[in-house]
Amino acid sequence: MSKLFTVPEEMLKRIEVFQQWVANGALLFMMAIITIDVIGRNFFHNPLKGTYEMTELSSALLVFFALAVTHRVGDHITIDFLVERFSEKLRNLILAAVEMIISIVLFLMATNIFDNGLRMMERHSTTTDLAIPLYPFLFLIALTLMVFMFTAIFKAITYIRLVVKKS
Amino acid sequence: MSPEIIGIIGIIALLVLFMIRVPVAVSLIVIGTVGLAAIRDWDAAFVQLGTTPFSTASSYSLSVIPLFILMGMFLSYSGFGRDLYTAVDAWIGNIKGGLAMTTIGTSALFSAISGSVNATTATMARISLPEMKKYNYDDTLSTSSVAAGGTLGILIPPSVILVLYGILTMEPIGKLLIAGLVPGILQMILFMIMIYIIAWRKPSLAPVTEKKPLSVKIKSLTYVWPFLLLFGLSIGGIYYGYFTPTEAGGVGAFGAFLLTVLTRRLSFEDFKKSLSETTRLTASIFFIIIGADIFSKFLALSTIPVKITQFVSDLALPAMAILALILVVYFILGLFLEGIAIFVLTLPVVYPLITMLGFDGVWFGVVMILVMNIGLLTPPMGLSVYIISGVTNIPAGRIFKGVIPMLMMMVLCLILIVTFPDIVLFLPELMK
Amino acid sequence: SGGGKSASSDGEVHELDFSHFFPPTHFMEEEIQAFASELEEKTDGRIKITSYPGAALAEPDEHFDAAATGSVDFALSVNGYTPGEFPLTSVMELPFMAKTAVSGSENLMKLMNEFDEFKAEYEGTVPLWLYTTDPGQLYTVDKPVKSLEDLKGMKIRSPSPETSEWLEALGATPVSMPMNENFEALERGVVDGTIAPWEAVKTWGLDEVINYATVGNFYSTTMFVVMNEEAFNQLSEEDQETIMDLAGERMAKKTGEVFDQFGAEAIEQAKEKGVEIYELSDTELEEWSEFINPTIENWINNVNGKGLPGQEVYDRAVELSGK
Ligand code: NA
Ligand code: NA
Repeated sequence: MSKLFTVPEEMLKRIEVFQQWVANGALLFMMAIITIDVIGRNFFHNPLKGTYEMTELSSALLVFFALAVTHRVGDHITIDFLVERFSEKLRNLILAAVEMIISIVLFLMATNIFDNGLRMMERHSTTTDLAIPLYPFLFLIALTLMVFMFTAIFKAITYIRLVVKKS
Repeated sequence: MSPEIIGIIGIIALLVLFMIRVPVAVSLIVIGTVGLAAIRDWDAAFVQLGTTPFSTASSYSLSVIPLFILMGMFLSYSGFGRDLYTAVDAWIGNIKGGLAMTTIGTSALFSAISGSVNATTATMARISLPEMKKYNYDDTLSTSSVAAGGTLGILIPPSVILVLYGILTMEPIGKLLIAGLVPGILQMILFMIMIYIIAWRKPSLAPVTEKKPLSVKIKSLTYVWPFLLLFGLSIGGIYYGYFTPTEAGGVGAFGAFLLTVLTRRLSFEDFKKSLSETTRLTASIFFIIIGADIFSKFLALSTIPVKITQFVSDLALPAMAILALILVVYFILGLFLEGIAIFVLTLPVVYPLITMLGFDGVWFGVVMILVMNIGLLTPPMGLSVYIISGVTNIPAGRIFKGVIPMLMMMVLCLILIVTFPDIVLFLPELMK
Repeated sequence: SGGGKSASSDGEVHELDFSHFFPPTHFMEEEIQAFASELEEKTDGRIKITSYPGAALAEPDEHFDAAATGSVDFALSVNGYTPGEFPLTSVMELPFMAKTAVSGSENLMKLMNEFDEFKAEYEGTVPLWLYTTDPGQLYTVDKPVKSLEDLKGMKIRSPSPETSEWLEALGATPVSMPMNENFEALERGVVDGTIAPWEAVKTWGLDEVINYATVGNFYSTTMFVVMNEEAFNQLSEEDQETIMDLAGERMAKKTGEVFDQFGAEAIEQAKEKGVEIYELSDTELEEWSEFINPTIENWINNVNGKGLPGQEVYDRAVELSGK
């Protein structure tokens, strides 16, 4: 394999691993704040301010930071009853095309979410209780979708190489 | 082109994308976006693409999903799940389909707490499927019992979707919440009967084990207490008002974490695996929900749901025939849309008609949920089945086939409730 | 955008989409339908509006954006769903600003017309009308709240950070939660009470679980109806004028009246269900104000800090409220 392919792919994998950690952290954070809030509210007349909105934001971070690595390990759900019956070559061609569709969709999602973030920045959109600005989260999410896009592109290249190698 | 035609083309195109192995979520996003662009314009479609993903992923009511899954992961990795099924096997392993029946019962309890079909399905799939496999249960039987069991939670109170029905129709919410209880239990019993029939007709699908002596039975209970403790904590906490069902996810996950750490049954390695598997599973579920949201906005603009319900309601037919047709329409909508979207799009037409025909509004709410539950287990949009497929890597098509007997029981339950409305109504009528 | 058929000039039919989050069975859907048919009639069928209730086209908190970007042509939603975006409009969310929805709505329109900075919050859209619901009251399940002492230690669901702030100052425990969990939370005792308009009590069936109401006009929910600017500009001048005549203060007042009427019905229904209503006297309210005033000062300082005329808008709002 050429370095042109392996070096960036190795970097991508590292970014995904890092993102997986962030997602796991968001999950633990949600668990912790809800528990602290429930205990504080019931036993100390002292709820954790902003639990509701921090849970929402953590949920979003968790999902988007884990999307790319989920794609890497093939955990995104597909319905496969047609393609599995094709010849290997045709199958790899279709799978390459599918990866290209995925990367186009992700590119459009990322740019439009980024635009949405810009609008939120201009309009000073914040959360309710803690007034946390929302736009940085949208920028981060756009970034994770770009990582996801590259994961799909590298998968597409891998499938295409399989097609070329076999013929 | 009229919006209806664009809608129909969109549905067909969606099936094509599914077939060429485009991930379910991506297919929904592609068709939803292109469809919105075709009906309105690209700007409008792109705005949806830029706003829906974040607002769906940051929805508070959905945020319960990862926390319940995490609780299940902790219990599974720590071996408490294995112990639970050891105990179940010791007590009722000699009964045909006993393990699958227990799975249904546990799912019912679990989804009653979480109120989320998705969370229950994912969690129970993680806890129970590997265990049932060890006892040589057939994949189709074990997955279908998880899929069916998960749907019980939106009938058994508390149910957020019945609250929504109450708001849309002004039916009393208190009565609606209690109305789901008996049908939920009835549905659960019907599922268990079906499992018994399957296991009885084809014993190889659900092998029985030999009857165990009492001493083994007693001993097997040693490690069931974490489950009892967590269920007790969750149900007690909700019942006595310490936390909401949504918060029960966070408290339950934390409780499971404490239990597994204090009993030294969760290694650091397994702890990390629990987290990573939870986040990846959550990501794949949410990705589909995001796609379904965009797709359903497209279907709303296509006016198809309103047009067909309008069409049915304009027919001059006897009340029962109209009801049957409405249920068929809901079944078809349930193939493509998620429950809340169906409610909002169709109830303004259907509800006045139903009450005018003399049917009870509370009863109809429960009936609608039964019909929509069927949609959760049918292709092309069968979220429960996709979730199980995601957890187990069993192809979705195989799971869809396996749930057919359960779908028959759901139809039977529906028929019983339409024939004997009192099954739904006697409990709410006891309320003042 | 304009729903595909736009080009320009008179004589052309404009099919426009109106999106809002209210359930299709809510009385606001009727109001929107009425507005749409009036508009269609007055423009001889040149403007046809299709209403999409139940947030079918956009999430409740996406509505302003949806109208600003042309994703929909008309949008109605709650300002408070996108905190930080409408700092001056949020003046009406402060306590004691209005006794009725009509006065709240009328005053809101006056504020918008008097302050350029206020109007600027709706930039990118044509604001058609703003309105408030009937004012928010305090409802409790187990024990009535007649004095400050009663409120101490109670868990109260709060609609806004300002309300949370003064609830805390009064010794209560404010809880944030989505409205769809409120019924269950009250029934089970997760919260002891909630602050909401009477309208919401009826809409969400809360009168099945609450037993006491304390009337003090603590809060007003504000809502906007805006139109996409481009869609507006594509209409003939005559039709634009027709829209503005039909909307504006006229619709603000009309919407306010509907909310007041529905609120009155909600009170009747609640009374029938045995809800005891206690109205705080002026002297009692003065006592409460001592704890509530710092929140108002914080609001003013906060808004002033953004370079906006917080003090002026607040003073004018108080003046309009006739206190
Ligand atoms: Na439930
Ligand atoms: Na389905």
